[in-house]
Amino acid sequence: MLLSFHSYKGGTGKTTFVGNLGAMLARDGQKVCIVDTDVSGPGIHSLFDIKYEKTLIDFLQDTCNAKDVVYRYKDLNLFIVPSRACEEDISALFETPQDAKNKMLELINFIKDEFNIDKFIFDCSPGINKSSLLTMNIVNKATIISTIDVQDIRGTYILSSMADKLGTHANLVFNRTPRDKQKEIDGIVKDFSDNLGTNLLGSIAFDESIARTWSRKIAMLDDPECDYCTHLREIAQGLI
Amino acid sequence: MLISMSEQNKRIDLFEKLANLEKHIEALESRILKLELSSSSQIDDKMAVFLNVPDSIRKSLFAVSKLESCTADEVSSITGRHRSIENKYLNELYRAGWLERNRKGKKIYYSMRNRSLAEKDEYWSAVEEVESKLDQLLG
Repeated sequence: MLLSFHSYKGGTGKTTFVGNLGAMLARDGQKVCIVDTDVSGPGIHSLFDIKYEKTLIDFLQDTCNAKDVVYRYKDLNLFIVPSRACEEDISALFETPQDAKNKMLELINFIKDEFNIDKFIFDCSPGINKSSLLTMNIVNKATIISTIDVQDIRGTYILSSMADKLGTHANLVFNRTPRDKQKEIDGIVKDFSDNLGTNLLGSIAFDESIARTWSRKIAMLDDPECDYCTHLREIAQGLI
Repeated sequence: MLISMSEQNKRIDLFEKLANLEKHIEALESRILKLELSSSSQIDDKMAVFLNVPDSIRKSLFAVSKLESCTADEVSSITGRHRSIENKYLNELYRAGWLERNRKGKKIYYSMRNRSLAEKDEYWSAVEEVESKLDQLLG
């Protein structure tokens, strides 16, 4: 199964969500691969503290093999394909979008066969860009992580329309919602999601303890019973 | 002499078979193109179009998008393909609902099909509604 995670604005907690989701699935016995397609601002390698030599960009530029860009995280069945910051969009590295898509599928198929991966999770660039749309186009399920910020809400409308145009049904998660108004906000965002025709997976309240890890810890591995992890688990059940 | 006539007949037969095969392939290509187009959703957004339109005709679509209103001849000068090929592709794009066309005198002009404002704003009211509710809640 291929899952992608998108956001319109940065700072929605998408990468933290993706990292913790991957860790959760791997802890539950699944074989997971997280691919960092956020080439304009990659962060997965920092979250998992991966010291890389070759990255997704090197593979896409044909300067290394697929096996050179896959890094196992500790002794978990969690594999990471990191990216390095690149000023070019992924699709700009290819003559046609189909070439870009084929090269991505080549990588996915290699990793799937080599490591028997059950779930691929793609951490995509924020905003509307070709690499994000390319990923949205190849996955089984796309999920938009939003906050209740007006900029994000309007962007979520645009992203869900794009998903619709690509024939990919979008899921929606509201992250970092105010804890004291959680119940009311849950009702409001449910109506919003229904009106947009997206599938609301749930919402996660702003969690100071997660914010204060500053990407130095992965809550799902450190404190899997915490409030954030409990909510994430519920959301994952709705998604998978 | 007899052998040479027989060889000639064989060659003619072979050419006929090849010609039939070519026709068959053309018909299949045309069917595939139609299927690809009919399975694509109706979109006019360039960013999304680039992923959904078959490679062969994307060039023509983007040429029309660039020129705004144009003939097959003008599209041909951008794509570098023969006018008859562009005619075929533009026709397919028109039939699939991607393009609009208007006849001016003897010439046919193609342009991008614009979705109606109502279609574009279909979900915008959802955004306004959620913003208003959140304004009330958060003050």
